[in-house]
Amino acid sequence: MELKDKKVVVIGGSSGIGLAIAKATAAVGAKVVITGRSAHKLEDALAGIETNVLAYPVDITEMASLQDFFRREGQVDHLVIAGGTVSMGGFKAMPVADAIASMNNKFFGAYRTLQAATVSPDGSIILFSGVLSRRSQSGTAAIAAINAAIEGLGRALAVELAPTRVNVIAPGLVKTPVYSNMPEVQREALYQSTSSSLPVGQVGEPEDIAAVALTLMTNPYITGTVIDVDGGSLLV
Amino acid sequence: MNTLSGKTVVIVGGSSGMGLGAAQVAAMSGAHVVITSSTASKLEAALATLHPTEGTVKAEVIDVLSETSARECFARIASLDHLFITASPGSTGKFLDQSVEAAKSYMEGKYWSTYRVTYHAIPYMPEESSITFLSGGLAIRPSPGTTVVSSAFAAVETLAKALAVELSPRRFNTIRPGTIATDLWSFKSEADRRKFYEKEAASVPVQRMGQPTDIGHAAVFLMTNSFVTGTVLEVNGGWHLI
Repeated sequence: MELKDKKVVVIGGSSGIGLAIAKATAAVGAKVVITGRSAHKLEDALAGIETNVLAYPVDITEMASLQDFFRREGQVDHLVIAGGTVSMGGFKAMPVADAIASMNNKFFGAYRTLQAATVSPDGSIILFSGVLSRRSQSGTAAIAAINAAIEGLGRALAVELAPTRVNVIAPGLVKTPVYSNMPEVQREALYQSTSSSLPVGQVGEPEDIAAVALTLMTNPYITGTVIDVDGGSLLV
Repeated sequence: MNTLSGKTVVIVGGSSGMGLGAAQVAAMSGAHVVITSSTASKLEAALATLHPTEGTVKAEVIDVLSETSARECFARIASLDHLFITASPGSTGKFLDQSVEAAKSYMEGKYWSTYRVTYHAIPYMPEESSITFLSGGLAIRPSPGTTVVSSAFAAVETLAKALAVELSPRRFNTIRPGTIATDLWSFKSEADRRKFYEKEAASVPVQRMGQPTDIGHAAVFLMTNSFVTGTVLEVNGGWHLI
């Protein structure tokens, strides 16, 4: 299965993993559309890509925004949902409203997107969870639950939306702008300590995840899976 | 409600550690308990720690590495309802540091002993019976130097699933224990052992060390719940989450 001239939509494609997937698919000739909430982040993203990519602001918390977008786009070959802001914080300390908002962004963002979109029967859908769905850390209760819910959604839709394929990628620590709010010293320390604890001796790059996304789009026999791309996080 | 009253429970490797813990809980649950081990003197000492409520306790010597010994042991026992296999003679080393033959000997002690004991026990077990194996967290999270142990544990878990299908309605399950306070750690000095236990306790959500009777309760649960088969039960204080 080739990606040349296929229509690929990357929700949350203006930075990090989503942007890396947009670049990788454009590089093999796909017609790529990236979306994000911020128009100027999308412009910055476009500036870094040579060809084949269009960008539209879409708010995945608004059904109307998604419906407008997909009405305009028509049928899509491959849909990647990489967006969805989530809050972290101690279970007792973080307001329930923040947890609900996180669920609304990441889980229901994906849910709404999939309801609004029309994906080709021989196309595919890629969702994102994370290693926290199965390994626990203090301060991550909401995101752990959201990630597990996304894995369940992926399996359920692999059946209900068949023959369109649906898969979930569960990344470990990947160097993305998610960590840009951290002071640089702290960020480097996090990358260092994680690298040394992992079997592969390094943390992930967005391109590592993009390579897996390409495989999931082009291999017609993979559906309903959760693929761990985490440097061996689950083994240590 | 299915209890162990009037049932015969055989614990292979029942003279110490998790096997003995299971024997103690089974005896308290009303079962006739047979503990087996390779060493008669260890069996004598273990019998003294069992407090049966209504059943009996006895001991049989078995060499799990020997086909003849396993066959004869179960011929002597003659009838049993539940079997828990904990024995696993052998040692391990780093992949490149130990010979293939040494690695095979661990597989022989853990996997093939489990297989052998099951093979010779089944003819004496009714359809309404259960067999429980023992693996360990290394099956899902290996550490350096545990290649063959991790492989053997995973193989044992899969053996249980395969037998749960092939020999149904007999039930087969595996307990995957965390770090348990057994004489496995007696090679450490008492001070070192205490420090190790404290560190292990602090690292898991339940904030305490696992005890042999924790595994015993899990084993009795798997024996008595007749709708559980083919599962791997984590009994590890939450270690698999962290």
